[in-house]
Amino acid sequence: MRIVTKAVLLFLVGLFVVSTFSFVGCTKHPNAQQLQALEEQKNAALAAESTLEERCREKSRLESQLNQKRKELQDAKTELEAVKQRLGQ
Amino acid sequence: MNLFTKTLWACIVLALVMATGFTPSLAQEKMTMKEYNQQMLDWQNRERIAKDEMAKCDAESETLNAQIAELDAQTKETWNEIYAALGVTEADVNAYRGQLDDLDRQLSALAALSPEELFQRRKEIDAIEQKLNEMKGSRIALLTEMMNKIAGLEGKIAQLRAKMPKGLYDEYTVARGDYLWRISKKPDIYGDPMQWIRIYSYNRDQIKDANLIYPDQIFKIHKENGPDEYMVSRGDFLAKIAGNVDVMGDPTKWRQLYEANKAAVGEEPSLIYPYQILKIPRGGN
Repeated sequence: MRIVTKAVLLFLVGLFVVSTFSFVGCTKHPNAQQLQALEEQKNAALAAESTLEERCREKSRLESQLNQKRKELQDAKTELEAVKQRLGQ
Repeated sequence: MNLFTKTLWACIVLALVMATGFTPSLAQEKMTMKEYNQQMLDWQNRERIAKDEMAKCDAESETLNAQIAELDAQTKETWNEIYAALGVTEADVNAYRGQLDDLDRQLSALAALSPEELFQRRKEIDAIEQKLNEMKGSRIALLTEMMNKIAGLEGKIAQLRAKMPKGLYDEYTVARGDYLWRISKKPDIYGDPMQWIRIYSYNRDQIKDANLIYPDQIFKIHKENGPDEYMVSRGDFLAKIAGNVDVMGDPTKWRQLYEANKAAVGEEPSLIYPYQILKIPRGGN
């Protein structure tokens, strides 16, 4: 009886250990410090992307401004010709 | 309780704790180191790519800014050439623009008036038109912007003139027993029977014979000269009237004045009467 009891006891303990490992596993996970570093890296990347978006918008604005300035110059040149013509009349 | 039973209970309790306590942590799917490294690498790559793109973008923006500055300089130089050709400065042009804007504001204020109020203030329109005509003599008026502004102002003046009544008058409905002398004598008309000719000449389209008027005819009662009207005064003659600056400004044009009023004056141009209303021919009419 005693042997049977011990065997059952041993089986149960073994079963407990096996089941615990099966739930918890023995895989390695990042620690809190590493997770913090990952979060910081993520924030830095998102901030860089956001800044890039702003710079792209600024570039687009400058492109529009450049087109506007080209038109202004063209208008001024046309005006100069028109004024010369009117003065000649 | 023996050892076996105790151990059995302990296992059951532990199993329960594991079933309740550990299961949620399983649902959270804890990150593995492999996943962690992959994610870290991904974020690092994204940051690097964004920074590279930003550097390119900054360089392009710098080039664009330089091009804009260059175009600005060229535009300014071209405008300076325009000012030099006109013999004016930028300040002169700005002052001229300001004067045109001022005239525009004055015309806009006049446009809000009723036709009658407008008629009362017609001298202001004349003054604005005169000022505009003076400004048209400037070389600055050769700029396209100014030409457009001037054309706009002229259009507004024309609209105001079209809105203005041709003359200021009341209306009177002829009653049984009325005759022109009697109507003219009424205190709310002229209070003077001698001014009957004023009614007669002002309503020539309705009155063929001064002795024949009919009940319910509606006559215009002249109150004030319109821009194209002149009321004859004692001592007037056609050449004198034509010479008036507000009429034609040239006594030799009396025949033109006569032709325009032949129906009212009759065959004898030297015979006109006080209070007669004459039409002033404008625009070579």
